Amino acid sequence: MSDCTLIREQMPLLLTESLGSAGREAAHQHIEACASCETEWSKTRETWKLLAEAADRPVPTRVRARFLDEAASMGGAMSRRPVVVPFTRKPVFRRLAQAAAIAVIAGGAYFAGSTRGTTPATGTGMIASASPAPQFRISENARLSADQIAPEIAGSPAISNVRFIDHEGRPGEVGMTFDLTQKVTVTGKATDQSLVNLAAYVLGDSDHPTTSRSNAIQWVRDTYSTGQTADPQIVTALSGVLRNDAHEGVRLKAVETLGSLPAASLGGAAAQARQALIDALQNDPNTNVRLKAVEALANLAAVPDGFDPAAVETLRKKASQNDENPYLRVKAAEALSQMNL
Amino acid sequence: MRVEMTEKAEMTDLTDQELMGLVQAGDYSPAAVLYDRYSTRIYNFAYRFLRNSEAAEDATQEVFVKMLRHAHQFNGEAKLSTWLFSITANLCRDHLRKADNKAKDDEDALLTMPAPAEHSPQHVLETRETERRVREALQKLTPEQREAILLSRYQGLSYAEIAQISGCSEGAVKTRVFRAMETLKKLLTDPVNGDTRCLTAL
Repeated sequence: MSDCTLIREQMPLLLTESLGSAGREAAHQHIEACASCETEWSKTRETWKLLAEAADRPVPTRVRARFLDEAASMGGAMSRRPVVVPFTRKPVFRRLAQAAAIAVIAGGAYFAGSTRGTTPATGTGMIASASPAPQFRISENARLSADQIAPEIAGSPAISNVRFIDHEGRPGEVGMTFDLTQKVTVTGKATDQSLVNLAAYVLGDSDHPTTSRSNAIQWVRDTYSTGQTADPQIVTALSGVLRNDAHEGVRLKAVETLGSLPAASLGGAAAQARQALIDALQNDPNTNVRLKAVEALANLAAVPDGFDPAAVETLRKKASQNDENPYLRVKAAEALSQMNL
Repeated sequence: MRVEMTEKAEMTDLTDQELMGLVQAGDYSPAAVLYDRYSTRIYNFAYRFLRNSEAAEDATQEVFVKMLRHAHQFNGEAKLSTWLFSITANLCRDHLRKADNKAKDDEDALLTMPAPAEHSPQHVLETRETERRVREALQKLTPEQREAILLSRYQGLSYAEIAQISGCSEGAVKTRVFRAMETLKKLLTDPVNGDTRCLTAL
């Protein structure tokens, strides 16, 4: 290895002062004496300096809030030692949820039985199914009698926050309440009401990480952007995301997805989509979201007898708004010219 | 409120080891102090690594949740920052491994980054252009090289610490930093590459 090669390999070490004093002195002596290495050293230092010019970005405050919320909930869980007790084997009046095979509970218990004689699951956030006799209910809270629970515990389900309760004063009966984390897979046609409800629920739940929300919107776009699958409930959910999500990247995906929906298949929901886009165009603080709202609104502006007057008026105002982004104004003007009003 | 503020003020005086000792004992009250101490470094490492603000936010949150959840694994032999960067780097590598999560441009970042009021528009434009070139140049590196240069240049970690985070030898870190610098030099100081500026959207 030539001296020059060796010295050049040592240049990053010189920058971070990771070379010993003898090595550092030898390297600098070589650089001073070698024009080629001096040029390389100069470029190396310049590159090092340029890298520092990419300044740190502030962490959005919502990340801190989300983390502290989660820490608080974890702290609550830590204060009570999770306990798993065996269920008493009882005569089983159940049959396994099987016909629709809508749920696979990995590492969890099976919920089973017909609806007859079953205490319905209760609680907020419950998602109603179009099926006349849903066998598995996705809900925040479920209240079940022991004979509805399969005695076997499959795998190692994550059970926490276990509390033992009196069973409403019935002599000889006990109760326990706990949080159960399950992995659930639901399959079916895109138009199945349970899947539509689930998609809308996931879109509307801002507690999910932003990547999950973006992925959910992408999935909705891939799934519900055709005339056969377009659904008003999805429009409502996307409009909610566009109005309420704190992250501009998520709102950007929502606006793109609204713009990709087939207006002709949306019926009355098209007006709802247009209104959400008009609101975004007027009020969203992010330029990119407003820019995409122009394109989306242009896509959805057509109505049976021409173009939606509110959409046209909003685009006109944007095109002439002096304090708006110039590129956005041009796009609004282009959208209007393509309408041949 | 006063009690809370006093407690927090006292917390900020504690060392990382002392705070982690509390967490290991099941007391999560140091969570905010630890977050405030390291979140900017963690977030910016993840953002530069992934070039995606959403993924960087998620990674940052996940790192601190893992810090609480797996506090018992922190044995105090390494610095807390080294341990946190290990978790971050793992999350970022996992993210990139997924087929749909190739490092992607996040142009809205340029539009939404606030510009310091005291700088002239010309200065702001030049700075943003430099930032864009640097971010693009970093994406030309392999993930291993990018990880090494980010930890060395932006976090000021030693090669030994980087080796620990990356799970490789110090020699490998040295090679990765050298190769990264060679690529970056070509992209950032070579006149041909340096003048290749493209206009971003207005």
